Amino acid sequence: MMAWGSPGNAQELPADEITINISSYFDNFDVQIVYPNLALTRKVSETTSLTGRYLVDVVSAASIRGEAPETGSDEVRRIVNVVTSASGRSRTVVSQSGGRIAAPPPTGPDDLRHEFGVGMAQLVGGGTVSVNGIYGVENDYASTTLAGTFSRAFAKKNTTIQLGLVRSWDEVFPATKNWRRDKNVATYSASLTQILSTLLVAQFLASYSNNTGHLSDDYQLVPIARGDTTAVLDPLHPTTRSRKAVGTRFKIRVDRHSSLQLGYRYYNDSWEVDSHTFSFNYQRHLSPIAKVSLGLRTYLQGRAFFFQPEYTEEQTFMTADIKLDSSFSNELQLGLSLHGREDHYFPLLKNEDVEYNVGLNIYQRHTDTPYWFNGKQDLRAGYFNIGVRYKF
Amino acid sequence: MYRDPMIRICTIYTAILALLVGVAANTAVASEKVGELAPEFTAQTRDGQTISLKDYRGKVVVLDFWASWCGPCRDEMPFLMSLSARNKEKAFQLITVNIDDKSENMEKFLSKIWSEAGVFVVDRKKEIPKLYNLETMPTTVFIDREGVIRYWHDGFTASDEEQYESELSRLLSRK
Amino acid sequence: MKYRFILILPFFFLSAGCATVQPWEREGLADPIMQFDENPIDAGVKEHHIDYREGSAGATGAQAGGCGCG
Repeated sequence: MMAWGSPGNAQELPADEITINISSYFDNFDVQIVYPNLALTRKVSETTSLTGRYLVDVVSAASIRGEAPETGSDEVRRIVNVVTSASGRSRTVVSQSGGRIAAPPPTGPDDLRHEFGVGMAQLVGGGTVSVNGIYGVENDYASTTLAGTFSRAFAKKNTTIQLGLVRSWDEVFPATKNWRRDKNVATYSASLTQILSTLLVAQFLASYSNNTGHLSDDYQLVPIARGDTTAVLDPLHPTTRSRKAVGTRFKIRVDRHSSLQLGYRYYNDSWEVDSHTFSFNYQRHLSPIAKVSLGLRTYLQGRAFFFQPEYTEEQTFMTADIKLDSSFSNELQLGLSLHGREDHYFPLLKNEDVEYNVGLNIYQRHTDTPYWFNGKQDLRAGYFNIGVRYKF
Repeated sequence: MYRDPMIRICTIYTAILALLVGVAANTAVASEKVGELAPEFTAQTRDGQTISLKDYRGKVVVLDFWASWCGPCRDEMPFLMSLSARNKEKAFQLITVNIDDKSENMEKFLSKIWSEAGVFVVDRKKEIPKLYNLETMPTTVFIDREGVIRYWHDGFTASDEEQYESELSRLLSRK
Repeated sequence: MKYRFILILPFFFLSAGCATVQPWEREGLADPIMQFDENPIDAGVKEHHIDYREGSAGATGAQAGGCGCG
């Protein structure tokens, strides 16, 4: 689910603006995704603002090619799953009988995922209430989400509290299966932001999420090595997962032109996945129109209780989802923003209401277990974004 | 779900936080100065003159605290300019107090709007806002002819314009 | 959960709030580089690709606070 920005300062509506972004993702697991997105925010009264949003994931190098032999036939179908595992294109795949079958070469985009969102922010008393609805759909997955937040500032706006609730109703219907199953997610979140001085702001965040229903990824296959033979079975995940996270962030004014953000998050869940995330971000005004940012993120994760590097017999719970293995990742984040200025000589930068953003993230993840599909332990990925914001 | 210790702790935490929010909300002191004499001050204006608030005794004064970095302040300024221009012939004076760290930021904003009305006080040391113990920015204070604060406005939205007009009219009609 | 001590942090923040930053002192805090999520849509899109590659979620950001403007 896309994270929606909260309505900004408590008791202030978001600015009227249109944002257009084109983002692309590419990695050495042979996944390339382009996702253009567009968002429009407009005040409709002194106390109400509306937002509309559209995003499309264009997956041009597909996720796992779990072929789905027709019953009684050797035909191979290319199946793509954008939502749960976009993991890589391969020319050969493992069939349910254990043999390897050549997949036909793909042509054109493999899948499209569309996401539509509408939202409203309303000033209520001394606070702001926002409600957002998001609908995402692709060939084998549909998701409907309702998100609400309430934020209020007090103590001369030195302290702001925000409470949030997100409820998702998802439906999973893999092309390789003849059923449809539900997945439900309810997430409760709270944050407290405290201005500690003219140079320091701190934030404390907490979230609790309860996931129920079909939580397996049916395009993944679990190899069971029994002596000289290998069978592959569908994964079996628990049907409930409660996820908890607490985090804190500090924003420090270093000097007149720059700031530093430090963050830490601890996560754990009922599948015994736990993780630590450390983040650092430095932002600096290079000139009245240019701003740069440099960030580092380090992530350490422990393994789910039912994840095994190798299964030798069928278990109650089994998974091939590499996200549930113990791993670590690092990400380098680079960003540049150019803000227009009335007296600028360059025509595209003459408008003060326009901001151009460019970002590049370089991501590396190492898992303890090689991914069954391609034998790789190290994922290396890049994420590139270019966008424009126009305030009107 | 409530057997989970984490959930219990979060529930208790949220309840205490809500209680504290309630307590803090009830201790707001935004308009405690209404009915009192407006604190006196002497300050420099944008064009280098020295003025005192008592110089305007006998007139209705609208005293506005603002900064160029404050969005609602920027929204309010054109309306105040218009209010001042339309009441030019009356016993009314608009005094705006700017608290930007740098004058150039103030000038950059004022160059984009018509700003020929009112008196622009420049308070880089931010002494006058301390005197008035502001709760938020902008703060707009209506002072009657005897120097008593009669109306106090924290913040600004376009829906406040009608109220400002009627309050000014009420104060001007008192002799 | 062995990190429950983190839950006392908000109380520290609230008590620190007794040392109030006045509305007229917030020029530096109004700067976009002092916002946690100045571009929330961009932050959400970036979180999107992380969620699909790691096993954790939540507590990553909630924009609040600001310039003290009303």
